[in-house]
Amino acid sequence: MATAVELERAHGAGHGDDHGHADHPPTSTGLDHRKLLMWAFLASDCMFFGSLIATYMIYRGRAEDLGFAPFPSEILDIPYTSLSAFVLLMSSLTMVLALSAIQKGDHRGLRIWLAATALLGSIFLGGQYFEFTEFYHEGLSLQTNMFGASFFVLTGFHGAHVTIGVIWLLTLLFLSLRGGVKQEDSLDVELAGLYWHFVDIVWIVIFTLVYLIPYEEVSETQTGAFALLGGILRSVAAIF
Amino acid sequence: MASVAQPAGAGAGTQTVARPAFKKESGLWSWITTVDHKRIGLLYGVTAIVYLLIGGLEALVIRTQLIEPNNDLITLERYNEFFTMHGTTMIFLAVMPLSSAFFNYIVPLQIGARDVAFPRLNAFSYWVFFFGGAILSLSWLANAAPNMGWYGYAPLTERGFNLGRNVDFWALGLQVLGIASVAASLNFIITILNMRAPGMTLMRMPLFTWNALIVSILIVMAFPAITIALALLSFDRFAGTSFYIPYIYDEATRQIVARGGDPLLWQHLFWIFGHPEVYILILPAFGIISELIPVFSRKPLFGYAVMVYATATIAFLGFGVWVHHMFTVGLGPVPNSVFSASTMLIAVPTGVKILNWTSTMWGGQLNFTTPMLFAVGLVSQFVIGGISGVMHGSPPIDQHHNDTYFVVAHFHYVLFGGSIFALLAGIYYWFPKFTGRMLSEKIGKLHFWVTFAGFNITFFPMHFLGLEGMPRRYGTYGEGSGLQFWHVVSSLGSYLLGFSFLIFMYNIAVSLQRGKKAGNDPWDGATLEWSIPSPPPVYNFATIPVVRHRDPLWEEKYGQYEGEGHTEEETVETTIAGFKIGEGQAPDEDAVEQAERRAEAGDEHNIHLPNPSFWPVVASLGIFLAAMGLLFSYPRIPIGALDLPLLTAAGIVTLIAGIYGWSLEPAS
Amino acid sequence: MERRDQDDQSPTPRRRSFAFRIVSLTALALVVGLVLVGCGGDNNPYSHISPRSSTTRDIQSLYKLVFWMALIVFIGVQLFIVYTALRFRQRGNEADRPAQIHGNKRLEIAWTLIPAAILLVILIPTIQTMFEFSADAQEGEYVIDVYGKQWWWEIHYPGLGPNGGPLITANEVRLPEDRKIKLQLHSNNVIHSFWAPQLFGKHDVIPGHVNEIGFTPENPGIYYGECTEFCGVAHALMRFTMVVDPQEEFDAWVASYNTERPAFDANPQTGDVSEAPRSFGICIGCHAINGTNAVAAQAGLTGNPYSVGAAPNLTLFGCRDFIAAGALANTPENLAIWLHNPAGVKEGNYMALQIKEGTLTQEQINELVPYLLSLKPAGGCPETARQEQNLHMEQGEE
Repeated sequence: MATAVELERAHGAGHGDDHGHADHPPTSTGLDHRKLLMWAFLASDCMFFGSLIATYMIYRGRAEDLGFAPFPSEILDIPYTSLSAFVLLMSSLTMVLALSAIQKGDHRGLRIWLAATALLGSIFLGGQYFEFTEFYHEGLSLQTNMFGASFFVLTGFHGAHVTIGVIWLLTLLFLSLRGGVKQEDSLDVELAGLYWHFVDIVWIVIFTLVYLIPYEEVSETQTGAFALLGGILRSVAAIF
Repeated sequence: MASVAQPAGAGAGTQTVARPAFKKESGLWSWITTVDHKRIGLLYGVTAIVYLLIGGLEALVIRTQLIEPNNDLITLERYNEFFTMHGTTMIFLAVMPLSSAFFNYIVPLQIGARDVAFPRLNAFSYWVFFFGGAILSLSWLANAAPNMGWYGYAPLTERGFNLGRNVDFWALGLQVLGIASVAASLNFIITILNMRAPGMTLMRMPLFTWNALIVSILIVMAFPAITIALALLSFDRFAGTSFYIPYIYDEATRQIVARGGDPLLWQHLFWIFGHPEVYILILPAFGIISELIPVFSRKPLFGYAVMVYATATIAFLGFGVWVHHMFTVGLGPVPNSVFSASTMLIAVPTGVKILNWTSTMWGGQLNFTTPMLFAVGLVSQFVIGGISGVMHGSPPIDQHHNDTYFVVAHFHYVLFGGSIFALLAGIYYWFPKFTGRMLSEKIGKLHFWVTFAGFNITFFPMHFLGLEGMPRRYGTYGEGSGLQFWHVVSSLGSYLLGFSFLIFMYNIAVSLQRGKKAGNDPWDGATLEWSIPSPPPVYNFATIPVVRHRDPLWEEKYGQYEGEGHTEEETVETTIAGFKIGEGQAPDEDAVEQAERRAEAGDEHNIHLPNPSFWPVVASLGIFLAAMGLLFSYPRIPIGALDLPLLTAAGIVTLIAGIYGWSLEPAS
Repeated sequence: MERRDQDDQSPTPRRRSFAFRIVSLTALALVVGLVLVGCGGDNNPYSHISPRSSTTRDIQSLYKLVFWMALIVFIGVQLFIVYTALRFRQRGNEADRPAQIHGNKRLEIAWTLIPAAILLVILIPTIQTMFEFSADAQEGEYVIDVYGKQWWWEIHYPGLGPNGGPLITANEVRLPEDRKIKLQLHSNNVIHSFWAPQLFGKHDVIPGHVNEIGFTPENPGIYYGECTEFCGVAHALMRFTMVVDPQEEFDAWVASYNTERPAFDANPQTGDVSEAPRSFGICIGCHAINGTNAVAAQAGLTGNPYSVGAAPNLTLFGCRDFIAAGALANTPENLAIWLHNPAGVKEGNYMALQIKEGTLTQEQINELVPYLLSLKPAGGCPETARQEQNLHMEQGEE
């Protein structure tokens, strides 16, 4: 449901209400409405992913505690996912190139780089699909344990974001092929780019927290931090 | 000079240019397809008042059930539905949209804009809200009204304990309403940041607009938490996860099996949303009051800058106090101490506001019109709610107060004595702007006093009930418990309160027909909305005004207005801010130049207004259908094999059609 | 004041006196109410302004501090508002607009700092009290496990039951006087909250977590408690009592609890019912009675959370004051009403899944009532605490 709205908002913005009025009064901040909207929306999306990531972190290690295999340490394939993370990062580069092409009025460049970005995004999604099915065959599903539930929900919501991004890029590509994206419409591409870069950055965070950080140390640091805070407060209270 | 209810047209006349002709649309279709912020504001307002009355009736049923011990007017199950729906309705369908109505109607007028930044997104927000409300209301017809409290603590919401669709109506309804709120808020943020008239720096914005901005930011930042919380709940209910389920019972082996979920995750996620939500409900009220008190005291707001910072501080701290809803869950003394401290801290900026409002009145010429009565009523009643809030900000005391009627009394003093008083004040204040006619002052004053008495008789005894140990959400109580007396008082008070709303409705009905003509500026207002006709023309401002002062209209009417007072105020700004938000008094040179150039070029002939559009309705209808599909064939959503209910599939197609139609349609 | 009224042309005096009357009547009623509650508080068993343990006395002294500060602030601010409103109201003869004051830095700083100082005065004892409570919960001479169920309470005394197992009872917590008690709260279903207002504050009973309450009951007597976290249909009918006895009475109760009683057959068809009536057979899937072979019921965390299989342990049922977690007083008539149709007494309860209206015939009920009420120690029920009790809970009338 939420994802539908993003598309909604994004498109409402992308072809927004100020379309084609060169003489429209300048905005108070100097920023275009749609650009500001995208930034505000991304702030909201930060909280969205923040809640999901927090959920994941709370249940991190829960599968091991209860002894419900498969455990993340045995099932996560870091080299494989590093490769797909690299693909997604590269798509940010092609996105930048697409924007710079349209800003220079290079329509052919725009189309090539949009297509490349959408393709890289699709490769990432394909990789995720393969990873999910692989895990499923190894016995990890939403229902298996807390790791399965929180992992699939977190990466699944991210995948949904990437999917929307790919659809958006393909829509732009389609419009461009019909001559609908002019040099002065470069903001349309820039907005898609903002969204795309955001989704990439979120993946870096997820990749680090879910895949890279080894599975024992985190809980210790957490308890350590809480114990420290508790000690400080206890001694403050003791003074009174 | 001293007269306040000025004759029609006596307000300051900026409308000297010839008014451009825009034909006025009418008829049902024009309301469905409208993208005019004023019409959308009215739609929000009318819908919200209908829900306010429905929520009120639900409250009267609750009060009637409790008027005697062991009453069997309604069953306990029904009672649970009533209190859940009362809370949900009042919060999401009455107070929030009523605030949204004022944001929609007033904010663009106060900042000198012709519409909001994204008019169609605005229409979309309203219709999604409308359908979200419909989902919740339809639950009554499906005999599956939500029955687990507006805060829906897991695992009571899980299928093991709540097999029916009650929870699903609630979860989907809130998801849909969340979409509406976030979309509307994004729109307001952009509108306020980007569409201010030349010269209106942030620190010249009316406080109501400031509060609208801050509330919108709160909504945008807080709602994702409940979106995720509800999504995880739905996964638990339909996809076999156990995010909030620590144990399940295996019927086959007759064994309890650990699953590893934690019900406290729900509480954390919910209250990370839920506490900012409290400020989402009350800050618009503070904004309205901050407009009214200066106008009816004929004095500028005392400590404008501090009021802005106080609002921002409340909003910011609002994200750091959620655990005070969880003082009894046993998080331990350390977290409880930290959150007790932050809770008490938040009382400081709130106290500052109370004292600043009173100081605004100090030395003024107070004109006790109906809106002013409600405003001063708020200042006085909110203090009661604020003080009892500090009381249960102390965790040991909260171990007694929590989940008793003391808390019910507390938050009704905040939300009724605060929010609803202010919203009523706002309706009395801006009704002339909405309709061109004044509400009757005579009936209005009667309305105020009956509301005031009914409110206190209903809710003050709840403090006593709480101290006597009456828990919340009890549909019955024992005969020997000694509680009946105050229950009866409270119930009688609630009937009086209900009656006060009849007076209010009567006032609206009569005044719409026979109310005094208002003219542009019936209250000697200070802000831009009073410079234009009532009701405003479609395009609001024939010429976009240039703002040189925080109270632009007073400056225009009383000249020489920005005198002594200002230097001191600016000192306050700079010392407390530490950095510059709103700079000097002269409007930005460029902006004025541009405005003048536009005026010379004949701005009034160059007004672009967005075209009506039905795509927002189509898109929101798609969301509604998708949600209904999930509700009426709900077990069939296995993840993986896309076995969607038909209605949901149709809804998604409609939604996508709406989005693409909207995207490709020219805006104006 | 009067002089001003004469000058005043605008709002008619009549209307103000109407308003004044409403305000003063409301205020009067509220003050009277405050006094009534203040005096009556001691008599109400659920009132938390009548503490009966050191824990609640600590809360009470904190509450008093906060209450008086709150009252002073309340009166001060209200007087400021009312005075301002009266003194500066428009008289209609003002020559000019009032002085346009935009703020006062010093004042505003002052009323930022003063409330902060007041709050600090509240915060410090608050934090102290909290740490004391958490220290209290660490120790305990008697550890008692409380299991929240839908919608009743199961009480376990580890090690006091037969063969060194737990002593299991329901809805009535018997406590020895002047001993440090540590309650451990468990749930395997939904969230409840355990609250005996005169003895301790609320502590939530959360599945997957164990919360602890430490307190020392000081006076023998009967104390009332209730569930305060919304837990479903019959949330309002989930009460309990805490009976505090002198040590020897408590020990006698434990001993009589563990006395062997004649066994009876679990099977109602073939039953050789020595003492229990045949019709009790339908009960033993869920209800256990110590010293008999009615032991099939599931107890504690392993109990079925949402169906049949786990119900209150009925040992010494004849000594309990209430039926169905405080829904009815324990009298023969009420017990018959309950057995006749449990759903009619307590909506939503799981016993009603088995016992519908008419499931038990009148003869069976006539057999069961005397049997259940006969479940008491040979020497009768311990009586000490009962002398001063007055039954505040409802007397059944269904």
